[in-house]
Amino acid sequence: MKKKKVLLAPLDPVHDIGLKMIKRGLEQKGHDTLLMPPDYSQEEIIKSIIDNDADIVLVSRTLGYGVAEILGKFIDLAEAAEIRDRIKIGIGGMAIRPELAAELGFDAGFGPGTTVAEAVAFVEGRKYIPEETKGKKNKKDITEGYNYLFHNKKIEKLLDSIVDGILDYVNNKTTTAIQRAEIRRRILESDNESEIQRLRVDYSKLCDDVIKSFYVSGKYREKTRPLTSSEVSALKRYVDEVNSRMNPLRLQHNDKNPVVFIQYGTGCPFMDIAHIKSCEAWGSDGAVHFDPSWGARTEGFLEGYITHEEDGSVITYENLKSIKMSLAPNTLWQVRAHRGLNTPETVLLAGKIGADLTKVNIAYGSLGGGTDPERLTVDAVAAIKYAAEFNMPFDVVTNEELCGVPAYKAFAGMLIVSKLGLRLGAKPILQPLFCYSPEVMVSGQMEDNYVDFNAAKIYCLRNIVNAPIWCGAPIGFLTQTEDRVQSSLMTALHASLASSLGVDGISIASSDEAFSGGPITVPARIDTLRATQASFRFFGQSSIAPTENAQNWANEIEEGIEKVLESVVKNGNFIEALYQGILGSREDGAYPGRAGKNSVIKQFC
Amino acid sequence: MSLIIGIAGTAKNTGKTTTTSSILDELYNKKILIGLTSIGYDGEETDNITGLPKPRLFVKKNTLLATAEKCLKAGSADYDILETTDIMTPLGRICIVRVHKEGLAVVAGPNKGSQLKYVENKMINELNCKVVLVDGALNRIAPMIETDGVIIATGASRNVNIDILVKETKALHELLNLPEVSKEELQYFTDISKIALIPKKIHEKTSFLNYGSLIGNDIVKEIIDKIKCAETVFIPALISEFALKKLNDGLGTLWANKTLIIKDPIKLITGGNPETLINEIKKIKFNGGNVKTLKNLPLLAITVNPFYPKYRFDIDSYEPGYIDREELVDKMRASVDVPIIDIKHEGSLRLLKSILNLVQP
Repeated sequence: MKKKKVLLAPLDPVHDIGLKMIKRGLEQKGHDTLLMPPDYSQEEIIKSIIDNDADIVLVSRTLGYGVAEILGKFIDLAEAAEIRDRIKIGIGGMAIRPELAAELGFDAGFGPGTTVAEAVAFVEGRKYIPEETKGKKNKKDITEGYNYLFHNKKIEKLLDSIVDGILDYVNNKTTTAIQRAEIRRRILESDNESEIQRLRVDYSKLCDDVIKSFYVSGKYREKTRPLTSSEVSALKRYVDEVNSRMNPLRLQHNDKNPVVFIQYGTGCPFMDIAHIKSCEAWGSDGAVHFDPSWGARTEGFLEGYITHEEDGSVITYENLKSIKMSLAPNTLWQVRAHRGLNTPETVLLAGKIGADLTKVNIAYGSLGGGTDPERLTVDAVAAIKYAAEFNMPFDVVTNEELCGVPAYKAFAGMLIVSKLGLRLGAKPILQPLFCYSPEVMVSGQMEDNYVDFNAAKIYCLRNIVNAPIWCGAPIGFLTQTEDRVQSSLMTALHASLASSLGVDGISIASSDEAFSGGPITVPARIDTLRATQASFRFFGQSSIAPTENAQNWANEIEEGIEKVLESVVKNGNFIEALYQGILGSREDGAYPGRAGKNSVIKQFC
Repeated sequence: MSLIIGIAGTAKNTGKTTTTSSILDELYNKKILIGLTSIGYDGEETDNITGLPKPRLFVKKNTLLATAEKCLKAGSADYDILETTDIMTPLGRICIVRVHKEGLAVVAGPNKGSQLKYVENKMINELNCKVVLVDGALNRIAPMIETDGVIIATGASRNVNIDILVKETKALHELLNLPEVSKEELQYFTDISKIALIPKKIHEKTSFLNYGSLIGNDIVKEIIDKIKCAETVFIPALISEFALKKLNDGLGTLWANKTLIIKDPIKLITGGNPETLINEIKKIKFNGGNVKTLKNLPLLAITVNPFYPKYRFDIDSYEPGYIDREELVDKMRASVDVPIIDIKHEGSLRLLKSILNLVQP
């Protein structure tokens, strides 16, 4: 490569930072550079080009009305000075795009996001090929490297005893949800149309009336309708078009920053996909599917591409498939199944379609999610078996904390379900809430700061077991206000605290989620993604230092967990413990759910 | 006979693209084979700076275009690619294409004079175009020297003060119509690329400077130091307004009986304000000197546009604004002796007639 003489000229009163960076890059590559001081006249720059016999000129300039004329004139001056044919001239600046560079007569234009390598390639006359590995995002397995070894052997022993009891209890029991999942599997795996029709009839018999009427007479639930064929084909076109110009950002500044999930469930699969694609573009690593609350309390699923005018997106094979097909290859996709009357079939569909993760928590689903504890326990065992079969890690979220259940009780439930998952061959992910929970509002652990008690939770879990942790859901919940700047900052600070504590994943909300009063907006999603990215950049690998309260509270939580687990063992039955409030009482704000009560079917061999 | 017409704007939104578009329409009516290119990129839907919509060029079947690769996919016209040249631009290589399906085109042609010359030769000599239109880019006039003449689009967007606008245009016309040198002089000077101080007796003791352009105090000083023996000062490249002023200040009456020869008026126009430059030329003449050019660039016509993007501080945005159209046209016609046309108001027929007289006398 022939050494080039490069003149760097800030055609600007002050701005030359970009040129300084490029100058360094060029010198490292062995080129001669001359950086002119700012505020030289165009004629002086032309004379410098002649005096220094420069091969390349790089001009930087911020743009405003009238500035484009100045830049065009600079090229005219070079041409009139009869040097244009022997030099290459590039322009860089925040408002520069290739079209504008072409219009102004430059050989290249460098806009926002230009790398030094790109400018060096221009100088050396090479086509710029971005480093693929640099921008490439890989799908991360957040369970990788965890062996689920229990450091607290006492807790492990208690959990094993409880899990034995659960497995013993569910033995020879089934539910219509489990039966529907089995039928659904046969429908999906059959290519015999008459058999499929027969199976659909069998399926419908196990559903509530509102679902049954769909299978019998094609009637949709109120506020629910199928997408038209033109909507479905428009969706495909939209996804293809968006994918063709996607160049996703990366949120993480280093490998220690956690993966970042967003949550969606607008009710419309098309809108969901638009939200997911926007978030992917702005750097999200994963997306969590939220189903409607009525769906969790209704026996059976509909079929087809379905949209509806309520929160949460209807789970059907087709809806989930269309969402899966739209995702970037690196996007982690989770379909929640942690509550409700369709837990086994949800996990089956997620597994069949290729979801990466699912979500199951008996304790939350039955204490805060409205499902009968016995029913959900029987369903959850079947669901976790599907999760294991399809190699889908599942998180165990402690959302009952939002009802007012203290962390130590919620964590006891989380650890029981996690241990159950391990016993069934699945990979659980601990998902403690990372927020301003009712417990701390009452007890005052966050009066001074939001750091210590959140850190205490992570310290505690790390002290008990070597398992992946994904903070949710979303982080910073109840610390956000209707002010989008404040909400974004709170999200970003919680994200950085989670990163500092070494967690593997976080779920974030949009900056308008808590106070949207309706559908959330894409710009508000971008707010928190950008804030999180900036925060990761700000802290890098430095740490946030909690006070000594964090360790003290961690110890208290761990002791509390032991006591709860001892009570469950002493009580002799996990399900009874749920009914009796050992894992979250009515006084705490947790109420055993009623959906599916007395629906467990005993099987006799 | 063929003709290469450049269309240059004095500022954004002076109606340059409207002028090009209008001439295209009239040429299509006359069934004349057209070659179309631009200096750089143009034809975008919205103005890159103000965000206001801009017209795009509608091209009919068989029109020949020189435009960058990336622009071929934009717009609604379809093309047969005749040649992919080696001319690189920020929007890809320049292609010479023939329209096979009419529609809107995005034209981003070569932006250097030498490259423009290549494209023009191709269109005229190999592809038999009768008229080649060169659509100018923002404030880019230098490559226009490779045309047979220019149409200048000016108007309120350049300056809302009509008197100032007319004065400037008049000066521009005068600069483009400087007296040309004799054939012998042309032959002698054509290959000289440095500033030359030529004594009375031609070919003897010519003093050459290291620069082709008059753009710095040191160059001015060197000319002043060596002027005594010279009868002719030849400047083959750029002349900046500032340096010319310095030279005049330094030489004063020393210009008597001496001639300043420039390569072409573009070398002056790019270097400064037309009115100031004409004043400097007048100073030379006042001091007994003379100014000539090797080659002129004929000003074929001026199109005027009363529109300008008016900035509103209250909404931080632009909205359409207008100056008095009749006053603008009348004052311009009284001062500048070339066809003055408000294309939007009058259409381009009169403009085209005067141009066609050059092609089909």
